[in-house]
Amino acid sequence: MFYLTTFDPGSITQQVISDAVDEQYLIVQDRLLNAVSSDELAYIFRGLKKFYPDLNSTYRLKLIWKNTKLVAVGEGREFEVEFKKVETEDKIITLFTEVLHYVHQERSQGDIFGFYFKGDRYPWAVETCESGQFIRPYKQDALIAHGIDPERAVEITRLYALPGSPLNFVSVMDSFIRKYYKANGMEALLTCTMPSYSKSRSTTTSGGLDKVLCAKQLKHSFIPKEIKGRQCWMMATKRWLEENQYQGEMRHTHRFFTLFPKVDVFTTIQHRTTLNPLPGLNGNVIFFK
Amino acid sequence: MYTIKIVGISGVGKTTLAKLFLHKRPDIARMSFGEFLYEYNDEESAREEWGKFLSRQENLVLIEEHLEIGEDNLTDVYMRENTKAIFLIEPSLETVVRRRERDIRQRSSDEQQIVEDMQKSRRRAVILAKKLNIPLVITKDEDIERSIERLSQVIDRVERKEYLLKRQQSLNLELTDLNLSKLWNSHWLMNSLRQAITPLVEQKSLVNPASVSIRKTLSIRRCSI
Repeated sequence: MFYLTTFDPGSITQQVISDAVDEQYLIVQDRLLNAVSSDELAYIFRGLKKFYPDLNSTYRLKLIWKNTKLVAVGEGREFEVEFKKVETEDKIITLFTEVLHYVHQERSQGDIFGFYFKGDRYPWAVETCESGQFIRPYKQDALIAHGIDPERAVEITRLYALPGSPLNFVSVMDSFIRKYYKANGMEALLTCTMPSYSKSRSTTTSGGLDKVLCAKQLKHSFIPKEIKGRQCWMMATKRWLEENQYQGEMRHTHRFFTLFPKVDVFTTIQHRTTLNPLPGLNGNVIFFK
Repeated sequence: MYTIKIVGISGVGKTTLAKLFLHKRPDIARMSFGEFLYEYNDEESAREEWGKFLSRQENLVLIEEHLEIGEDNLTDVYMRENTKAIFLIEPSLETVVRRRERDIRQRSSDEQQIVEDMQKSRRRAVILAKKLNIPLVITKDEDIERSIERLSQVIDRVERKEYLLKRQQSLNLELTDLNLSKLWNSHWLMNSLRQAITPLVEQKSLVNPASVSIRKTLSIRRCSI
């Protein structure tokens, strides 16, 4: 979908779509087969097979509290779930950020949290959290405009959830994260969404992050990569391009391809800065080009 | 220019605290009106010089002050001096008496008077903080290091807020009346593409022991969007 935005919409034919799918498939296949062992792959994607009781994309569990324990339950199955920090040196994080995620990105500069089935080595859902200077400057401006100190704001990235993860894990994890940062004096949580690709409103606003912080023009960039003798176009984030000082050939979202802006949403967990939001914000959204 | 007031009755250690703190932060200016009075003899000249001194300052000034003497309503003065926080030092009676007895300036160590002055000082500090909507921090710490630490925290908070206010005022933002409800409901192009892509990805499968189909991989991608 992202790659197809680099074409003039009027020129997109069935053949263009088919080629784009082939090409992006090659990229995914290349990443998976080169970086992950078959055992790891089998373990991580076990939810796709229909016979695993914990992660199962057909019969998904649901998180509930049982006495003081968080458990995933469903149709006679029950597994204790642990919420804990993921060790940043853990290979799993590199695997998620550099291989499994649809966008290559740098390792998180902040806390990383995960949901584990008790006794498991790998988390089945991971969210990364960054605050202060690690929040991009335009988002810092938007936070200040809303009366929030960026040093006391935490940007959440819903990095990954394995197939077949329990249904309500996002809101449960967000509530854990909210509690954790509230106790640490933080004021707000924010996250970035792309309404162009959302199939439902709940994808965007789950976890109670429902106030619009700002909107920014959405534009994707792709860099060439040769795989099996074929030139493929691989997505690269703005941050990646800046940090790697990439100067080579690129493709961008076509100027005739209208994408909705990406929207950063936030929620206030407590107000400590006592900075008033700018008065002009009432009913309006900050827009960055 | 903005100020933080270090207040308390004579002998609680306002000057000691401020001077020790300035070893850590020599960039901050400090002054007490008492020192101006001492230097210029008459109150009128002292006030004039005091005003000139403050008008020359650009950043934070720590001002040591008594609240138990002088006029009752200091709200206007505090507003004029752009006061952002009040730091009230309130040690135990024994400590104040002990310090005053050692003081070469022959300050009164009448316990009854000290208690009354402390109460008056606190009452005025509370009223001022409430009227100006600024933080009032009361320290009873006998340990100077802890007092310095607390003052440091107050200053950090005030300076951070001033920095944010300046940054907020300098923001040049473009505002729009973006209607999100419309966004979610009307993107026919994306929906058409999604429909066109789905049958194609269904045909794909990764050749590896995990037998992961590309369709499922794409559904994971949607989770993380």
